[in-house]
Amino acid sequence: MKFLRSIPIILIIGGLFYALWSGILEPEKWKVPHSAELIKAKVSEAQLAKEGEKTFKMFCTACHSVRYKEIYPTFVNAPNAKPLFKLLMKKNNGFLNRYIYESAFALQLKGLKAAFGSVPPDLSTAYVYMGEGKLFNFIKDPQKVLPGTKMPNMHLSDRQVVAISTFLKTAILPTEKETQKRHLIGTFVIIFLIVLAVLFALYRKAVLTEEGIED
Amino acid sequence: MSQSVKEWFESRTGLGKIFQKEMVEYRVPKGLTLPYSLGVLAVLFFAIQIISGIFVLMYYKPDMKLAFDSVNYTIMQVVPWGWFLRSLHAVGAGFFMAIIYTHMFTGIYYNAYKSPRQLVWIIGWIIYMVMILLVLTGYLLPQGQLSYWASEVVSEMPTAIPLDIMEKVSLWIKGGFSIGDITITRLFALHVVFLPLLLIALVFLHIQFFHQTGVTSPDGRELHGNEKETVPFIYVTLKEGVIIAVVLAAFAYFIFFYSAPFTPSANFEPANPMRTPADIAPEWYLTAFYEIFRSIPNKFLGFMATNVFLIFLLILPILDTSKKKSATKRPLFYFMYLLFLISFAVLAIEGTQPATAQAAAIGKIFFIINMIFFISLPIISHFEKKKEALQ
Ligand code: HEC
Repeated sequence: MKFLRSIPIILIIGGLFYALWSGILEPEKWKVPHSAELIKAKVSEAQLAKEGEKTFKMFCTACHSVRYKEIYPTFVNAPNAKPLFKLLMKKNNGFLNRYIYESAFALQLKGLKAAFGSVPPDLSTAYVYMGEGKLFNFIKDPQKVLPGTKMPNMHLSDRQVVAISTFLKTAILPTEKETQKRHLIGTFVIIFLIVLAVLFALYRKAVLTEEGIED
Repeated sequence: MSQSVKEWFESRTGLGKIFQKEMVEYRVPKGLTLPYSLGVLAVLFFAIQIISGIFVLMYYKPDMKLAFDSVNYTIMQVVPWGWFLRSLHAVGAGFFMAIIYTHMFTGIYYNAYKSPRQLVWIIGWIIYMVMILLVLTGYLLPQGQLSYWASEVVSEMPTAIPLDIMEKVSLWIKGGFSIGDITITRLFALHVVFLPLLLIALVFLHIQFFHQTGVTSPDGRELHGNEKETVPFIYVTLKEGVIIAVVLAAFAYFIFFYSAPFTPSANFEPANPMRTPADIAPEWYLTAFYEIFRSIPNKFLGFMATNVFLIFLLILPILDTSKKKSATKRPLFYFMYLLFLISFAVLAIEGTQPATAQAAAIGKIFFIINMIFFISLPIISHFEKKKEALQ
């Protein structure tokens, strides 16, 4: 009886947290097509990421940077910028933060802005904030996702787009190997805590019987 | 030998006496239910936030241009175990808020706000306010899109009050006409120094006050000073140890396997003043307020409505005057309490949805249901008193 009374409360509070935290309230709008899923199933992530980096450097670095992967637009290699770029990279251990990057190459970025209306964004974190589905569809056909955008359609194959998307994933999310490592550590921690809980419960029982009290 | 060492310390520190008083002489009712562990859990997660906070603080840079990279690159990718520290802090904040809400709602269930615990309740309410400021200021620090636009909305909040001076207040909070380095440094100072210090003091008072009055018992009887039906607190810590280990296991699951819900993906887009996100909703712990606020067309009235909810929470001890305690002994109260919970849950869920006419209608209806709970309390009390007088 006492327990019955708390069931609705557990259901409401539990249901609230479940609804808020699971993704059920925001269904994904853009999906990765089946053909692309097949490629992902066949080719290893590491391989795709390697391919993606190459493809990205071929098609996208005219406009975009991926600073978290030390990839910068081609303008940094122009004769008037190269010496400065090399020096900055050396002084900053290969990573240019936004202050340095946007000040040192302000002119070039301004040029891109003049050409496209907005500076083509750095894509280090795009995989997460766009989501895999939206990212895939955007690279495949920018106009479909964002009508009127200045981003050109590069007419890439599914394989090339999947590779780029996988490469961008590794720029912000841990690699498969790293994820496995974290899961392994996590499993150990959880098992440890459960064992600890059981030991604690046994200890509690022993203490309470010994002292002859109940709490 | 060890005895004399003990005495040496005790005569110089008096710590043993404090232990004796707080752990042994302080007694709690037998058969405490699970919700009674929420307080200890809240303290535990506060400690986790402070410790993990100190570590992420070592790498974070409060600066418009550097904050984003310092979080998403330096901490997440360069610092060894940095991802773990950030997950601890982000998931910890979610757990902390969830625990505080559940603690508050179960406190209402057991009528923990009634005499003689009014001050415990009021301090708890202030803690809740400080917590909201803490999570809000923390949320703004990574300077993603959500951070930026949330700071914009929050700093515009005062202008909901139609007074000329409020424009100035809003400017003063921002430190300029737009969110900038000054804003973020201010929020940073609040988040890492002022608010945590305030919270430590408040938590100390909260604990001191309920150790003075004793906790409620699940069935509503006052057992403070009743030696037979209470046990020294130290025995209860054993039960709490088990619960803490289980909760930490759930916590570890989210940290190592599934931390994404605690770091919203939209906040991985660097703050961009030029691009307003399509629909911004606050995090889950504020969506109920957000839903109330936006379902009322007038900004000022919407602002006041959310405040009415908070004020009603604060004055629960005045609204509910019945001598009877605990929903387990008060069927009418129990029924209204369920309505309160349901309406709050609906508001919180609806607040995450796009702003439509339907969402506004639902918001208004469930806000009214929510208010009915508070308004019914004096009436329920009246009936219960009458019934008591008859018996
Ligand atoms: C000719 C310049 C140019 C090239 C080449 C280019 N982009 Fe873009 N890209 C842009 C511009 C400009 C935008 C901004 C579009 C907007 O905001 O409307 C953009 C936007 C994007 C976005 C969306 C980012 C966001 O925050 O919404 C992604 C993703 C993207 N590009 C990926 C790519 C990839 C992948 C390639 C290589 C296959 C590529 N781009 C090649 C100019 C370019």
